[in-house]
Amino acid sequence: MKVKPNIFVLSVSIIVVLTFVFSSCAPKAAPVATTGTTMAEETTLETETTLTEQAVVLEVDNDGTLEWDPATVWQKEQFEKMYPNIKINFHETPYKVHQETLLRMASGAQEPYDVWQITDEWLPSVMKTDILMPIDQIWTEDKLALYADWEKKAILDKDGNKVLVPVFGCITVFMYNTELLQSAGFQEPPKTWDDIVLYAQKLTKPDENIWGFVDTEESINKFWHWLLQAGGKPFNEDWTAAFNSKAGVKALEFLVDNRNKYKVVPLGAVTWMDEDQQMLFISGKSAMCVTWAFTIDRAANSEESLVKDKFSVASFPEGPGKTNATVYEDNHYAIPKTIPKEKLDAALKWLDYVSSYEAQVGMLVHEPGNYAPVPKAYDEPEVKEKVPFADLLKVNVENAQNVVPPNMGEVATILIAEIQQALLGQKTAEQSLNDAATKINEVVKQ
Amino acid sequence: MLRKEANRNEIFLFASYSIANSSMLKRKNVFFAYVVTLPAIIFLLLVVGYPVFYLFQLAMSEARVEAGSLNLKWVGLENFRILFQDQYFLEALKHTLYIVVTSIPVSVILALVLALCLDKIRRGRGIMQTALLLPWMIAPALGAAMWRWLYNDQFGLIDYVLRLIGVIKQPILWLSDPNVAINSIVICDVWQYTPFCTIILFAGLQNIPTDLYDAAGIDGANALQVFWYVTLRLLKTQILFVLLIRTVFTLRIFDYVYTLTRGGPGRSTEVLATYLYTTAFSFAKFDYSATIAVILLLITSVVALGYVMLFRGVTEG
Repeated sequence: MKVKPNIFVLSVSIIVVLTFVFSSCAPKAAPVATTGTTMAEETTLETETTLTEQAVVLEVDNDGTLEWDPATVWQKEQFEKMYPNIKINFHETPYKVHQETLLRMASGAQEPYDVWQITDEWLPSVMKTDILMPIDQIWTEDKLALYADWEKKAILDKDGNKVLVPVFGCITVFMYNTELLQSAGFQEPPKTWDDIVLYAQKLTKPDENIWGFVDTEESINKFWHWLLQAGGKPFNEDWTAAFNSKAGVKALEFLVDNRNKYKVVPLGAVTWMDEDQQMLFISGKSAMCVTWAFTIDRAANSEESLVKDKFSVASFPEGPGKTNATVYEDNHYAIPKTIPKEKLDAALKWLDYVSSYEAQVGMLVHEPGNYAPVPKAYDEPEVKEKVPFADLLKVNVENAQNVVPPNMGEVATILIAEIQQALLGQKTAEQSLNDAATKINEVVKQ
Repeated sequence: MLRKEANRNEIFLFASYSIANSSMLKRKNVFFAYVVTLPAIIFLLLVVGYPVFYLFQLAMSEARVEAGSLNLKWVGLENFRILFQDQYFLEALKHTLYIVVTSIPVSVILALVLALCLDKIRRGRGIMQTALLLPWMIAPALGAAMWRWLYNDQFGLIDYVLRLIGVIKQPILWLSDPNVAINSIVICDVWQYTPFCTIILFAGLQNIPTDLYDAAGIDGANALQVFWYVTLRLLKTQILFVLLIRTVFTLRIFDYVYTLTRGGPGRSTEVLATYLYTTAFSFAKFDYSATIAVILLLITSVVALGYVMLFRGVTEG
């Protein structure tokens, strides 16, 4: 019988497709064992005898490359001196795919690391998977007492178990160009929001590209800063929106008026990244800004900085809320429940060390630009020597809040888009915040 | 000698022809052909078929990542129903279609003009060709980073030059004005891909016999008539090809939008690809992003099919 070529090809194709269909419909990965043996059981059995003779190698997740994390490298060196039997092997995960990597590890689609690094942005989605192991035993009363109050809540899961330890974080500061202020006759930094407007109007010279006060809203935490300073709060206890309060409207109107009414902000700053704001400041074209504290190191030490001896940091000018509150963006380590039993002790030791006072001080000293949620650490002489404005940073850390709503990525995208519309004059501040609240209240329920 | 060799060759050819024509050998040849192409078919099914199947599966499921597993609960077309009520998706679709409808005609017309100019140049054509190709050789992400600086209203070269020569007094908000931002992206897209279109059209122009131009000249046709009835007619295939490729790629535009504006200001430049990316990698909603990907795939397929049918019409005509 003559076989028609197209039928032959079709038959083969159908067979192959059906094979994949049935294989993909097969039951998924094995369930997680509470003792944490399933994922790496085979490998641990194979190397069981050798592990006891050799060092335990701990696979630790790191966000980005170690080139930018000298403090992490230092901590590893100190830890390995303390525990010669434990070796830390870092896995550098690019930021853009880090959340996906964490979720793939959580689902079993990828061999999981022993210790995971999780920023605020990814925390809600990882917490949903219930993959993180309680580590209450690390958090002694003495250790807890070292940390800022808000950090004590930040490390909890929904059941109140402590599942995280802080790695490093970032905080906002108020920076100003001393030379520009003095040239305009201002010897002191502004003390209130009204002062900011007054100073900024006098300092702004659009023809020379000099701007009085530049703010960007790339990160949702920047808006939280202004909201807190206005006396508001981002969310209620049940995570429904509270940012569209009178205080929230005041905060957003302050930003809108700076741009549209007083014209002390470049109009293009609506879509600027934080990087653009920092560049403007260190190029000496921005008189004042509220920005991330690592800009201090950049302004003081980077080759491109034109303001090395011409800037300072001050307390936040007082807003309607008459508070020093600001935001802290956090970064944590956690242990997944999938960790092999043999490595659990080593992982706990690593987390215990990283969250120790010594490690947090060392982190501040070896990587200015990273910040610790341990207020007392900023009093250490070596920290004061290496970290400019340590006293002010301590105050900011003590008064900070860490805001991590459910579905944080989506919440941030919605709110930033609405804030941009208010800044562009497409909506009033109140309309923008109310529209954002309506959408976000649906999102946080998901 | 030559005659003997010729005889030998004839015999050999005749023998080969006879062998090849025998039906049994024909069947074996066909079977063999399919066997050797089977690895390629399997590879295609693995690399293309299975991911597409999984994409559809994900798009019709509710995906939950739980400790140790990814649970897919079949929901049918529910994700699609939600998607078509999602104002952000509809806006992203609108912006994508806007970019397609503005960017492609501009780049094809510009490419045709450039190809015609290249065709006229004799001296230095090679250098001109290379120079024209430069934008296409730059990786889109790098190109986008460069344009981000060019468009900056404080540091950017474009506003600086325009102000210097007195064309504008205030900087143009290339990336911050919602009415302008999307057109800024169109400019980048045209800049990046016009060279590719130019090269294809230029190659087409080279294949047009010069006799036709001579004949048209003899018949008294003017320049416009020559262009319309000779050049354009004979370039139809290449034009369609360029339109097809450009449409397919522009529907998936991502690099420029993500680097220049991240979909802002106020989501006025959000396109399907950036919405898909944000939904997957910021919101961690892999099922929903798969739904968007399926819609994008279907749109692209329909458009490509339309062009292919037009293509067939042109070549058969």
